[in-house]
Amino acid sequence: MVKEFLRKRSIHVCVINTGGCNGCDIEIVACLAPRYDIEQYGIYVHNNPREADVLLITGPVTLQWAERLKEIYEKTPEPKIVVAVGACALSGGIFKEGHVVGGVDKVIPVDAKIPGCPPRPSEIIETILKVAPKAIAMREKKLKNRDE
Amino acid sequence: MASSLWYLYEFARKKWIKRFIDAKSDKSSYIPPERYRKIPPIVKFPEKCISCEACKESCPAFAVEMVYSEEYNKNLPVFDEGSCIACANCVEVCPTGVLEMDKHRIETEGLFFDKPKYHNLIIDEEVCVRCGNCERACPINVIERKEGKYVINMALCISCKECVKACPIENAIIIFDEKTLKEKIDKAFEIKNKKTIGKLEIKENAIEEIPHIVNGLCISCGICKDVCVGEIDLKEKKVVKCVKCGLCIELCPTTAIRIYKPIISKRKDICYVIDEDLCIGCRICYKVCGAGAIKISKETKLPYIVPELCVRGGACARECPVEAIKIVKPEEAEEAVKVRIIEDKIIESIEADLILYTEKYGKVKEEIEKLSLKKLKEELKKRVYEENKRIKEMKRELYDKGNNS
Repeated sequence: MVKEFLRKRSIHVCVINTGGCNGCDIEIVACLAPRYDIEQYGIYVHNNPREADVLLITGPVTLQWAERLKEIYEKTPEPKIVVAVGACALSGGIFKEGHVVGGVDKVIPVDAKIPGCPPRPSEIIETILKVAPKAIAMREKKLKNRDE
Repeated sequence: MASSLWYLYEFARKKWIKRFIDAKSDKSSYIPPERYRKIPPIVKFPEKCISCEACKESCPAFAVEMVYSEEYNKNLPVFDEGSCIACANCVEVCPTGVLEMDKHRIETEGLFFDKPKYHNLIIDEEVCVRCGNCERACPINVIERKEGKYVINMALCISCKECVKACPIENAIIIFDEKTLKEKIDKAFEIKNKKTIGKLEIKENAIEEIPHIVNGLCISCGICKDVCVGEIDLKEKKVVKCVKCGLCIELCPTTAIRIYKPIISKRKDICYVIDEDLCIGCRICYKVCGAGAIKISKETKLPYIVPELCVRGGACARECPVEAIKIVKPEEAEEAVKVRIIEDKIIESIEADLILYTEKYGKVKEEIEKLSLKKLKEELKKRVYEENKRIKEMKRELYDKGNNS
């Protein structure tokens, strides 16, 4: 109860791996660990697209994942923010010639891109913190409008 | 009491407690480590760039593209931030040191390192005419002449393909990449499996001759040996037993195992011609030409170029001490050497005839000599006999005369 109440206004993040090598996922896990501790900034990794504000997408979009990714994107409530993490998610990276659609931006609109193979955890946190408050503000506005 | 206070003080003074408290604000958590590579690599000295595309060739993520720069009047590499994976292959492969990724170049200088590349180049020693154009075209001088053959140093080559552009013969420099190698290995594996089960159907005598292996091209991948129904000795590079099924020829990634490869010239729009007025007859061109296109006229004793055999390598024109070899259109070249070719043909036929006649003459002469010798001997015997007879008669006559008188 208390946790839910406290996390009500934090940034909810959903991590999606669309078929990469897991390197970027490990960096995201490093964000959760005590050294970087993503929760101290009010970011909560939830892994539930229905409640997420931010979709963290890693890996190139494989042919099978293209449809699933669209579904997930539709399931997330407005306003939503998509952050592509790593070289693969930006352009396909070293998997360009394989069975992939390409970057995430070919399937769904992307708000922020983090280059690197993999990017540093500090970069990931920085990007989320830069991009997410806009979305949170919009959500607050909506909530207010609904109340009125 | 005092001692316990001291213990507490010591406990608090320890560094690890300080670090524990400052863990979140510790500098190391947000300042990247020393060797961390910032992407993408920067073009540090664009004026040094020779547009060899080695960076593009080495990039495993295809993040490099050559874009024409108006400021420097040449193609410069442009990096796609999204694709770069910070492997620093481009930095290490760059022959002139244009690129830099933090301090990567300084850190790795002098270490053993095979230049990474997508395509590998090998010179086909069977077709190569030793014109030396590739050696001149190579921007980093990794092509060397060893024992009369030109060889690319595979570990240092950057696959810029300048040599391929400079080479006058089609497919004399063979390009093979990992992709084709993998495909061929997969195919070979399938066939090998079939072979071990015993389900492999072999068409015998599918090819006409027993193939041979070109030593310089063979990369010892062993595909041919796996597939072969007969026997191939890869150490000696020889085909020992063969049923002429043609599987090895199909599967060799570098076309090292083959029956025959023709020499085809890339350029047909020009041809070289020797100016006979300038030629001093030193015959350097004749020695330099690897295609055997230069022949020496029997009429004038000066060299001339046969346009059909000429591969337009240009080695002869380069080596000529008096610059008597010129580039003209092929029709003109044919016109120029027409007379010489016909002359040579006639002289050759006459010579051949002469040789035949002399041989015949020699034989006949020998026979005649033998016969005549026999006859001579007989005649000599006869003569000697007759002479002896005459002398005897004369002696008798003299004796008779003496007696009478």
